[in-house]
Amino acid sequence: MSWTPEIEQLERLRRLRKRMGGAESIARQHAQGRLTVRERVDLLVDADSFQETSTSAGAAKWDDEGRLESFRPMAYVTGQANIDGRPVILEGGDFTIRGGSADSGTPYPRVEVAWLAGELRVPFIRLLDGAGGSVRNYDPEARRAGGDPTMPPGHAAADEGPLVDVQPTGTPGSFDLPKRHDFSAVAPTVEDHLATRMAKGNLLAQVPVVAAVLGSVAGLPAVHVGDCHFSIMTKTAETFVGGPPMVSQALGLTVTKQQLGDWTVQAKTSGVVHNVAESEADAFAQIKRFLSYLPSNVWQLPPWAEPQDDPNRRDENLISAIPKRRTAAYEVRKIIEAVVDQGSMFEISSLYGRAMVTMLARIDGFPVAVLANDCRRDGGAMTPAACIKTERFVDLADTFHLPIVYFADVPGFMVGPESEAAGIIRFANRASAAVREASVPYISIVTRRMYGVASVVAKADGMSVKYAWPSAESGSLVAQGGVMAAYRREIEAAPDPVARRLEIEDRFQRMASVLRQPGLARPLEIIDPRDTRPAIVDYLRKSHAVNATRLGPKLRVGMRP
Amino acid sequence: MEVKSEMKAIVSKIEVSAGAQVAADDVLMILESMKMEIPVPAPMAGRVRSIAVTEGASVEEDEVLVVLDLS
Repeated sequence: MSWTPEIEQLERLRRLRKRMGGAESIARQHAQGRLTVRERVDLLVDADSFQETSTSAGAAKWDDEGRLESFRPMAYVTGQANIDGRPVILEGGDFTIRGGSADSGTPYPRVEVAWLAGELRVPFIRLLDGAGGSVRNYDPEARRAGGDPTMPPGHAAADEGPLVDVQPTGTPGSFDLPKRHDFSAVAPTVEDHLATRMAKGNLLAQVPVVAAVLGSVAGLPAVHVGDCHFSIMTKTAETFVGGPPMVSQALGLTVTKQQLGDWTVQAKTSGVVHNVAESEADAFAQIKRFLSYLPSNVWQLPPWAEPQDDPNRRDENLISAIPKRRTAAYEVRKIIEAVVDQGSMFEISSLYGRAMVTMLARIDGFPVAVLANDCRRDGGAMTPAACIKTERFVDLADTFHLPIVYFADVPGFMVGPESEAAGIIRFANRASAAVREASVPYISIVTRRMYGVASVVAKADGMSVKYAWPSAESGSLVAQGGVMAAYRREIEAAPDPVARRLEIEDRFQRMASVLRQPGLARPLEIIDPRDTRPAIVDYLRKSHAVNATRLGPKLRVGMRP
Repeated sequence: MEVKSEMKAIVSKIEVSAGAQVAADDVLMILESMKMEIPVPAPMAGRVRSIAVTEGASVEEDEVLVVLDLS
């Protein structure tokens, strides 16, 4: 007597599971230009590092003799792996199994790995492809008849015997919640939702969490797109909480999946998704790049790498980077490029809230979070979207102990009806609060304008420091806007009101220069722009020791405005 | 190759004319948005085949500004 038959049974389940939704479903997935979940995992992780978990998970049916009658694999693949030699935990939706529908198997393997990522303190990656629940889960008749006819059927494997769909549990006609440890459970219990929420709630404070949208992602998986530190989608993918049929039913609107949630909606307009990938391979490359700047968890420092670049490099172009003409715009990415380690820039969320550039980079080998106003976009003003982007990015940096380097050129918070209607006042407060709460090394370089309350993004407390270039200017508001408001009567009474206005504006403009008065900028020092890199390197080296004493989760008390 | 506007703006000043040879980074035109003058550089060297806008015109994001023949 041995356990050989049981092991053989298990091996059989595993073989079935590896077949995913069967050859036909896989062909359909490929025809759409999409990879299968197992191909995705292979592309993402280090060769031979994937250790799949719950390899026999799925909905199985056994006959009276205890023999396997049917098996439909769980529509998710879960496991542990390495990326660039560092351990991660991941899950991937399998669209070839009933469209990745959440019901196809038990939820436990997914809850378990999310939990484990937190406990083992390693990054957690979600490769999303699939819908949330289906109402067919509630319909025992449909399930008895072989599942959702709109979804690909389970694979037929001649050598594994006939396969039929699993029978439902519970009473026909009732919306039954299966028992927790029923192997053929089809919907998570209340406790599972709680466990998932607790694990996730902790996860964002503990380990990097990444979500990739690689197909049509709706329902709960769509919620996961927003529940992470970094999200990415391909141009052929889309995500939404409810798809076109639901929108049609609820709102009477006819929309396509693309109109609801393709990259132009989610990465440009809504900002829910950070980055766009040209291909799935590009998405995985960007995920690896993102993780390369972060520690595996908040108890570690970000990974320092031997710099190839000279810490004292002085880029000559910086002396003329800011045009002398105040209204002339410039490309701020060129300034960042001249300062950070060569080849180390990785922009996050480049299509959303574009008045603020957010980037991960390295300086002297230290991973840093770079913020920079882009004066080419909305005049560099903090729009509601730019505020939301700033808040999230500062939180990311603070959570993972990344020093923040801010290139400031901000005329203020965005004015106008559109900005007010979008709630600029609240989002301005929230961005300011995030900066105030941050306790990482924080260095601001005031390159040009620093006006109004928006200047708080150049943090002025804790161990933060501020340097200014000679082109810096500051005040409570830009002279061009403020003079007309404050001197209206005098201007209107003048023989030549326009000349009078320009004259007053010019007077205030000269006063706003950092060379005349420190104003709001109050820099530690006014520096030659070419000395920016050495100055930041010096600060990063000195503040590093303090940063290293502040490891662990960041406590956030109370509520943001 | 089409050089497109990266943003909604007004065409403030056109710096080149059809037929002109340009080097990479040469300023093709200046756009104005939110009181800022935004130079539009040539993405690479080439000859200006045509200019699709006029000074004072409003342009939308992704609208074609200049067509270049690459050299």
